Amino acid sequence: MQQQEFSETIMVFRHKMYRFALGYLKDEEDAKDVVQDVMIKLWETRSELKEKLNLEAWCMSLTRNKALDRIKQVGRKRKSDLDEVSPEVFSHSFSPLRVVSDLESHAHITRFAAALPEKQQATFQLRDMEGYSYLEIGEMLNIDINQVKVNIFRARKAIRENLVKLYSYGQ
Amino acid sequence: MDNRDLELLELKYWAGETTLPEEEVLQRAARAGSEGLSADYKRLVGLADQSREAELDPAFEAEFWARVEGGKSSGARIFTIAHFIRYAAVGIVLVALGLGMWDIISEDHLPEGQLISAVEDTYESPEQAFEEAKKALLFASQKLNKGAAPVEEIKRFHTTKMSIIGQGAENQ
Repeated sequence: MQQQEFSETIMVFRHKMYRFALGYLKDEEDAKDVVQDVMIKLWETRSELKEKLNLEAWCMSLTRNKALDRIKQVGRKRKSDLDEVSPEVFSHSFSPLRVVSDLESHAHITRFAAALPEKQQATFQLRDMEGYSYLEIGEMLNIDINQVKVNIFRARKAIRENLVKLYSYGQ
Repeated sequence: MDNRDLELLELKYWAGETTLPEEEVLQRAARAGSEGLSADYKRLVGLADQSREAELDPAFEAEFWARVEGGKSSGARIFTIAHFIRYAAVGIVLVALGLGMWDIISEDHLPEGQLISAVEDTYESPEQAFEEAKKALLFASQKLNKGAAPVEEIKRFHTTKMSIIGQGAENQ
């Protein structure tokens, strides 16, 4: 596999890999480093890539493993505080009141998602943020389709319960 | 799709039973601000839309290729633990094979006298060998059961002790 082919078949997944890593690490630089490390590994093993049936699933699976390694190495406590939400959100909103409301609710959902068990968090992110099918998620996380469904259900249920609690009783 | 249908579809979503096309319908309705959907679901779709905007900077690919090229020109190679284990395993197999071969070759080249002595008879005549074997067996049989007497003594002591304890327990 040459550079051009690598760019066309592997490098195209870099943004998805980055967002997936970001979901785990909550740090843009760490997520970028993870994607770069994974890309280097993929480049070094490019001769074996032709055997992979689903390259995208393989890339995401490697990203997940690398992100989990990084969490172990750094002993990072996952950050999910309100003040860590990107200020870019302001550019997509209509009024200052709406901005604050969106910013807060997104931060809450992010925090609730980050508190989920790892598999639930990953399935939630891959399905509800990235729009992958159950089959693809199963390949990425190396679990069967029923486990994917169970994890999605539990993740959504937990997030919804937290949101209901939060907005019913005030913050 | 009316509000009631959207409401039902949203319930299906929270139960984890929606398909991807159904979820796309829900997302479109949420973006359009449909009243049939809950505020929680709309928040979720808002977050998903926002998170999909996060991308690596455009220089990432160029930086990556520069790093790959840099690694190639300097001849640097990443030596991982997996590499080490692979080389160590090959080394161990080679050493084991080498030792095995050396053992076989050294057996083949034993001095003649040494090899013969291993299969040579110990005594000149069968009668003499019989006598010696008899003596050795007699010596071994004398030494057998020497330890039986002390063991019998201990056994007797233990039986007596247990009978005394048994009587005591019956009395309680």
